[in-house]
Amino acid sequence: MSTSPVPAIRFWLLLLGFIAWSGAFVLLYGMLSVGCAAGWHLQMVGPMSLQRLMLVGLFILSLAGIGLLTFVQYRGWKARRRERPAPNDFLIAGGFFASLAALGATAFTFAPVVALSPCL
Amino acid sequence: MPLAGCTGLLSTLDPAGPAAASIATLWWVMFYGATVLFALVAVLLAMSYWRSGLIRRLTPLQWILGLGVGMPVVVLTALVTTAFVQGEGLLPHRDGVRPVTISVLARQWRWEFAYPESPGVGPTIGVLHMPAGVPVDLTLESADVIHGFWIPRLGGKLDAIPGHVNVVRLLADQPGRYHGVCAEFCGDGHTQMRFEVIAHAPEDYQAALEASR
Amino acid sequence: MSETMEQGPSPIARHKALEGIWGTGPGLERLAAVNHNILGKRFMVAALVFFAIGGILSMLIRAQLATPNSAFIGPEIYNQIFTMHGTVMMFLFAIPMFEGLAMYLLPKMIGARDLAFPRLTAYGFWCYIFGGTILVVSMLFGVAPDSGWFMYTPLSSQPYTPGINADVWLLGVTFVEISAMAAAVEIIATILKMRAPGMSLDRMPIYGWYILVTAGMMLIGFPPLILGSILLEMERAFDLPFFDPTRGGDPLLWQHLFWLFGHPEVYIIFLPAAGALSTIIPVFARHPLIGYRAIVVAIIAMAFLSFGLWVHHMFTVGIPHLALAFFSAASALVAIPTAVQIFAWIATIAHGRPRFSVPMLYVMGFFFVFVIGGLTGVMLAMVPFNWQAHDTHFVVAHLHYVLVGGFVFPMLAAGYYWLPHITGRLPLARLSVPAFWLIFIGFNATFFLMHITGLMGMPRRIATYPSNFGWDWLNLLSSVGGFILTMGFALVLLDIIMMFKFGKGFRRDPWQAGTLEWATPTPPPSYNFAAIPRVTERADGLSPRLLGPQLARGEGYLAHTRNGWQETLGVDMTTGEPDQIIILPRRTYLPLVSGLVTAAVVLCMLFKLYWFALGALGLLVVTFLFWAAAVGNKSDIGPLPAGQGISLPLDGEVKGSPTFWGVVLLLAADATLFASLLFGALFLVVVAPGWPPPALLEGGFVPGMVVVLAAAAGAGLARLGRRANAANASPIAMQLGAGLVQAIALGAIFWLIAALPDPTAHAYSATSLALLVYLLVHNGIAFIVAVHAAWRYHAGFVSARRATDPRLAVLWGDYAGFAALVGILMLLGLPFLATLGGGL
Repeated sequence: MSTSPVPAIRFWLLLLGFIAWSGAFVLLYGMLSVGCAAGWHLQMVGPMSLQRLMLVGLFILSLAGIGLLTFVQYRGWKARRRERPAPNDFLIAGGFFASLAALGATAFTFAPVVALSPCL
Repeated sequence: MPLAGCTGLLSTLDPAGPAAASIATLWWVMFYGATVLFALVAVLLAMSYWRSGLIRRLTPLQWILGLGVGMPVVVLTALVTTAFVQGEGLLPHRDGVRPVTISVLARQWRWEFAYPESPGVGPTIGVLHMPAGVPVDLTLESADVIHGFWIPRLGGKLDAIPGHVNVVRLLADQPGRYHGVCAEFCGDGHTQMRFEVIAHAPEDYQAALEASR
Repeated sequence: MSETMEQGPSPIARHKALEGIWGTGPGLERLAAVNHNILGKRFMVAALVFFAIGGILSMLIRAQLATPNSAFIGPEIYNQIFTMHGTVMMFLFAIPMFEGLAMYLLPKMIGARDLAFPRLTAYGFWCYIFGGTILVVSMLFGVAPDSGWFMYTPLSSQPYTPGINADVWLLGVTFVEISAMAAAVEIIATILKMRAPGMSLDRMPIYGWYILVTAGMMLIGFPPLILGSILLEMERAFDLPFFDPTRGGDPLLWQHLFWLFGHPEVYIIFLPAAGALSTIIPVFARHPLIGYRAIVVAIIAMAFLSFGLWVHHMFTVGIPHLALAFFSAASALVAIPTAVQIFAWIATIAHGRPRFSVPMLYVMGFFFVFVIGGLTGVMLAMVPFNWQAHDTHFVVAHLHYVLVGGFVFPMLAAGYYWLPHITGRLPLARLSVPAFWLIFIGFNATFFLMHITGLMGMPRRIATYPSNFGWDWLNLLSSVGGFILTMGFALVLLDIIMMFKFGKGFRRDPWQAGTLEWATPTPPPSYNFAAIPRVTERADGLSPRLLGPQLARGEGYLAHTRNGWQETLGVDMTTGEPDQIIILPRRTYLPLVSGLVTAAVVLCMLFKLYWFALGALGLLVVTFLFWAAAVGNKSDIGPLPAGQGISLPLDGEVKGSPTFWGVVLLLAADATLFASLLFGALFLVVVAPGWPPPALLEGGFVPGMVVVLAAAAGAGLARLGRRANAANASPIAMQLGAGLVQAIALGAIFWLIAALPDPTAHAYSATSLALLVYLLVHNGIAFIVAVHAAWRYHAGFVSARRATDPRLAVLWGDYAGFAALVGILMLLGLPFLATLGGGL
């Protein structure tokens, strides 16, 4: 059996960013529902409700997580560009751009947590 | 605005209240914006066949990052933000507002309106009495299947779902008669599940309720 | 072993030898066909028949709505008609249509001789035909589904739909979905494992990427609906109140499960069509596709985003504004990957030397229609506007612009482009052009006006309307447009018949395309390629005209026949370097038999003969065991020459065979179904009215632990069995032991089921029961697979080299163990959450 110079894991690099976006989606939407059911939007913590505090916290966490992932993939991509081209380089570049897109999608999709009515 | 031809008893483009009016404005903005974007794509497509010299100067990166990503990001951010702000304004917030509350019970295939603030009145069946010029919160419940409560000239629709209570806020600018329909498919009588809305001048409202008893 | 290598026969002799092995016999033997050429065409023809049926239904709708106060059809029949129109077009036309095209094209485009699991192709086809037939026949008896294609509960529940109408939908559609799941699994396995040597992922033709992403979406998108259908059917049949708000259920759970499938579904339909566009446009632009890599990233983004916008079908159910905002933003965002593709296509045309032809005419029609649909889609994604437009004819207009623009127009382009491949004849342009204009004008007349009708307040699904709302002339013109559209489709049909009869033949590759499918003879032989080529560049910039004759001469891999085997190459997933010779199963009646038995299960369920259904289900398992019995070798064979100087092992003697990956993919889909069930349970706890439940499971800890430990032991023993087998020792004891502990797990699950409070009393116990039944099924499968693996060893099909069976036993053992752990945790956690839920 021939061994693969570009491991199959590289294929998953293409999906990783958006898998993380999906995870953030499930987390935020799920906790939003739980918070409304538990009445966290009525408990104030300083200037904002407990509900908003939690959601903004999760939002920042998601941005940081996916941002880190994107950064790691960016470094991998830059390192790769210095080497001579090889088949499936694209998986590394594509992985970086997909994660970058996922980072943008995270910012765009969840930004409303800072302002909109959480339980109405 | 080209309203001619868009009037009608159920027309969303013939608004009779602030909620319907603001959504109609959003529609016209989106309509003109969409027309421009459609024209852009059509012109580019036509040029790609017949005048490609002019647009060949665009690099693949400009096509994809500029037109494919950059332009929509700008347009969508503006649009989505507007819609969020507008949507927030349409919610039944309670701060500083004292709306009239009317309970709506939907069942196959009729609407029952009760008036908790006027004990002894109603329920009125198939006719909703409401004061004009005052925000009204309608609490929607269903006795059987899912129905959709919608008075197009006053504002957006909301479903009446068994086991849930939903609240929709509407306001009629002027006294008058409006029409409502069931928007969510609810079985054989869905087509006929319409109702009438009578908005009364605030000073006539109580009297009208008493008369409907 | 008798090896009959033919050294350098003539192309004709090689063709005859290969055709003898791969071909399907005449007469009744056609029912035994498993070949993707035949089945792909059958899928497409059947889909077109259903398209005609759906089209006739739409004509009835337009006839009814043409005038106000119409007395043509009453609401009882009208409701069946629009429900069936949607159901037929979605499940029986669109999905099978692109599946058929993908089945036909994909192996040829990536240089394989067939799909990975030919018998599964055939089984999927029979499930599709039988399920579709049940649905359509129900119309003739006047008991067709009538709750809308979205089947909202409680309208579709027993009290409000007491007849079998809703059961027909739930069972029939689930039956058809088996074929979609089968197609998804084998398409992914085929793309990842069966490309031509040298075709690394970044050399894959763009269509391959589109279909890969689509199939991945199907794998994740369909299970929520399958679960929802099962739960709703259980509610209807056994009064388990999953969706009944008076007993702790929630109608919104159905909506979530339905649209969690239903929205990705739209993109599942669009992406294969976009794949066809990305293939066709560069050919007619005479320029390579611009932005191949950007498009790959865009379709991956699209696939994921499309799972994050299902609630935009539910903006009016009373969900908090912030939650709506997530879905609104995601719905708007999905326009960006769409725009990337649109502008990449226009750029490709602009930078090329475009020529016009009939396929391009439909591509232009696509641009016009689909862009409008996309723009109205963004409008509908805006929450306030959606509150007005939802459930009106504006949405009817939008969805037809998207689906007809995004699927039917591209498919017509694809039809005119690839029909010459299927028929070996070129189209005659005379009828094609007027047919296009009739379709284009008819379509826009019908549906453009509906935007206005909707804004004027006309709700969907009303059977008639009075004259005073100002909708009369709009509806009349829409109906006239509808009939023009139908004439256009009739003309296309006539055009295709003319092409079969009078079209001119051609040598090879009439469009100067660059993809491998044009390197086969046309019409293609059953085995596609006499030899499998090596690919050294992106496989949509090849020269089929030169390549075809080379392959016919046998210049490539596997240009021989031996042992009557159907051989094709297996490759490494990413690099595309060959790593095995895959021997595909030959024609057989087994798929038909399994399909008929599955139909028996469905019909018994439909007519409420539940014990017979259980018996038929047992029989179905037995037929599947016969599938397994038909494959495998009784001795080690070792590497065999594969041509071009390399030798490769058979797929039964390597770790990563398509069979193994097929099971992995099936388990991924299965896990999605399980996740949907867990989501459903948590959703009910948090959102549903009527919690906490009146009675909770008591004394569940001990049997629960027995289930977890026994399932873990089953997984461990299956692993030990695999290890023993790898060391040339007998795995039988371990595998039978695994079967034994799985049986113990099954016993403990029954104990738990008996201990549950009455499952018809509250959704809590109904959900717990559903969890336990899920475990029952999976520990049951793990039991069967472990014992089966022991039997396979005993019968001589397994050795240290030929270890697929022990590997599968490990996969199922691991999954059953994982499911048991998570399922029992959930089961034991639910009472705790339920009481908490009361406080929530």
